[in-house]
Amino acid sequence: MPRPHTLLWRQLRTSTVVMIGIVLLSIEIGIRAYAVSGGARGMVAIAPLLQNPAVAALEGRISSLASAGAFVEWKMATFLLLAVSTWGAISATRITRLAEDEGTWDQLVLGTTSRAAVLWQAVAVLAEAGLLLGVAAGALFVASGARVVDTLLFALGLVAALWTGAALGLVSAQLVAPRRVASQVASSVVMAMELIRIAADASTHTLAWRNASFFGWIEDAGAFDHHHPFAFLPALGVPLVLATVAWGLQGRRDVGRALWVHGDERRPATRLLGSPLTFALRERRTNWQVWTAGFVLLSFVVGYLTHALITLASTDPKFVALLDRWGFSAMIRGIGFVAGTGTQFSFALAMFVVAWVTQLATDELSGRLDTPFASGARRSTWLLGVIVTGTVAVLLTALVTAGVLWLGVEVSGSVLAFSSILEALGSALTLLPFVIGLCVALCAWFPRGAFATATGLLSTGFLLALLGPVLHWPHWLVGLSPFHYLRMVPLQSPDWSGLAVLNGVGLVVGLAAALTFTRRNLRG
Amino acid sequence: MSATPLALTSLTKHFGTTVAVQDVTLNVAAGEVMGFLGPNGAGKTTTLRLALGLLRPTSGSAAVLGHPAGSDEARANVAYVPGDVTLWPQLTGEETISFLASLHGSTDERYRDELIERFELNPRKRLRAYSKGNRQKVALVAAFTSRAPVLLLDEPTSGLDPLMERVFRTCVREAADRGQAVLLSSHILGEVEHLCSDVAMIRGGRLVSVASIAELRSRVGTAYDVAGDDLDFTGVDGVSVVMSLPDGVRVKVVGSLAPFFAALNRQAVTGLTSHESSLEDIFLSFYDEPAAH
Repeated sequence: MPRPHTLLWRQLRTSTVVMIGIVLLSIEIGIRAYAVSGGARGMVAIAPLLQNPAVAALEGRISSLASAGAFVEWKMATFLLLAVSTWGAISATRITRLAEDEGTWDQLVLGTTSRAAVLWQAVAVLAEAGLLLGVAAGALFVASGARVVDTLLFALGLVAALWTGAALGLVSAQLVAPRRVASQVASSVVMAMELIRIAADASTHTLAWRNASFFGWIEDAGAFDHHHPFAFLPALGVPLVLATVAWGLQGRRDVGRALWVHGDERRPATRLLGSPLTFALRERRTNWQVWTAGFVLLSFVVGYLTHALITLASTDPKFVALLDRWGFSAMIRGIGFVAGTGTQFSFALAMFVVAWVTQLATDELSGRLDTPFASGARRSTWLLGVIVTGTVAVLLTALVTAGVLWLGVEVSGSVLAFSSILEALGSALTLLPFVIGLCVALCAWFPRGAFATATGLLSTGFLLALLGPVLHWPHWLVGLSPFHYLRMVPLQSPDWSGLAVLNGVGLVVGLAAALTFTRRNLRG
Repeated sequence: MSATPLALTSLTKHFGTTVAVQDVTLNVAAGEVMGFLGPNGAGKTTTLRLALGLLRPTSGSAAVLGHPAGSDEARANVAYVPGDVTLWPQLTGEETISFLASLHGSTDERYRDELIERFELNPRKRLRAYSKGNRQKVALVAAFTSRAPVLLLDEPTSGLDPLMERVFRTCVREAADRGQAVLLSSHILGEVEHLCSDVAMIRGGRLVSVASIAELRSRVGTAYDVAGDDLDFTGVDGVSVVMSLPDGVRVKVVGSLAPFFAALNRQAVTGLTSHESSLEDIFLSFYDEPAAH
């Protein structure tokens, strides 16, 4: 009979492999990008950039880019650490809170296995996942010729980020339920830590704030830069403390319940329950609020950094030349920066749509759709409700994002017309029909993996479009990415023909899938 | 003439090479409560999901009041209670009932409130806070409130306490009295025996019997404990000895009683006790032996 440890690993093994794959791919891309950019000599051009507060805020602080590892640390670590810690938080709530929500813990904690033992086994599985990730990343660096000490510190940074995210998830799983809320709380804390790090790095006066964020501790260790291994002590110690706190909390509550129980009973509110269309909005409104809050924070930070970035970029000819080589010359002007930002936002907005639409597959697989579909609701109306509300939601969120981005730019001292920002964000939405078509197709034909597959495909597509041209990948390969058809609007005209073909494919596939969804066997 | 509320005709469903339901033909009339029995994995839930239009038949058809299962008209005339109610955990009981009612288009609010009271349901609680039995009550209230002409109930009382089971039985009887057709899949044989006039039995995806409980009893036979010395029923038509008793034998009599009583007349019988077959006996006789029927 499999032990709890084995059962927990079974739940995490696929996503662990995917996460290791993402980390290795990102590192490999970083190493290659460094080589393509002329190595250490090529990086001389952007040396002044490293001290710029805006760049430091976005990419983290580093003193030189003398090695490929340093370049990866500077260019990729922000994304990698954030991704790894968020995954840690989500995974921790998955194997603890979700298991309790579904009642599987009731079985696990019977017999000779205590509740605390199961929790420690979850801790062990998450710790092992972190170590695996660190070993894989380290092996790739060593294979590429990096120094072992530097590599070890970088790998430790990844491990610490994953462990901290996981430990936050474990604590959150004790405090709140259901799992969706626990994940949101843990991920929000991770995001808050990243914002603290960004604010700290944005000015020399606020550098001390880094001590309040585990991202700051990891950055202080300076894997490929200055070595401060002691900076890791809190980054490795805090997860242990948090895991102990989680263990302490689990002993104070009932299995299946969180410590903080709120509002299990309330006055019924029948607003938005009158039709499948409004119900789709009601079901997703909390997630919408969370996403919009994230967009507001991100857009303000990006808007606020615009002035500092373009001032530096436009006054350093070497950097202008480098941006030219990378195809980002337009970003030395405010409007260009915002246009570039618009294409970056396209990915985030696409992910928002993915989360919105693929909730349909989650509902179907959990059996929630059986009763409504058996009692009057048309599958086509239901699907239409999801698509229409999703479209309205993403349009409104984009509008709010544009407004806050403009506000950030204004506060930073730059001047940009709101209409230009709106055009940039509007351009980011031109992939919407394709993304919706893709999601509907996955819900209809592959509901079990709809969210993961859509996320995987769009992430790969985004990386292809971002790095393919820089790394001289074949044109046909880059052309497979939907993001390849986005232009830097309003500096450039949209690629209407490319977008028409792409969205046409999305619509046709989406319609065929919708037809399938209305006719096929319902899973559940 | 109005169409049959629920009509399943040669309904067949294959999942790849697995035959889930094979050639099932079954009608449920208005005002009829039909029991639907079968061991685990026999195809009961699949049959119900076919009747609801949630699954597409491989062949055959299911119709509600003459409309193909899954069509707008069919869905508008059906209410369904699954064995394990999974709905939106953040909604309260009342919100869920209200939402499901809105899908049906109309609702009898007074009857809804009455049912909430009869089932002793706290409608202000979120579904995530309900026990299994209370989630079941939410689905039951929503189904009965809809007053749909056809009720498909898949083990609807799993998780209900005996008091609530009694309330459920009353509601089903009231529904039948109003002319609603009810197909009740259940493992609680006492409940089926109480509520159903007819019973459909399914095994390995095939319908093995559709009959009234009285007819099934006569088919399975009645057991008699016969007291006396040197009793012999060898060669008596329809009579088989089931077991020896300290003061006689237990026999099972299937079909006409005349040969049995004639045999009794010829022997020194000192006592006779009859045991009418319960639905459980009938169920076991159908499913205990692999090739019994």
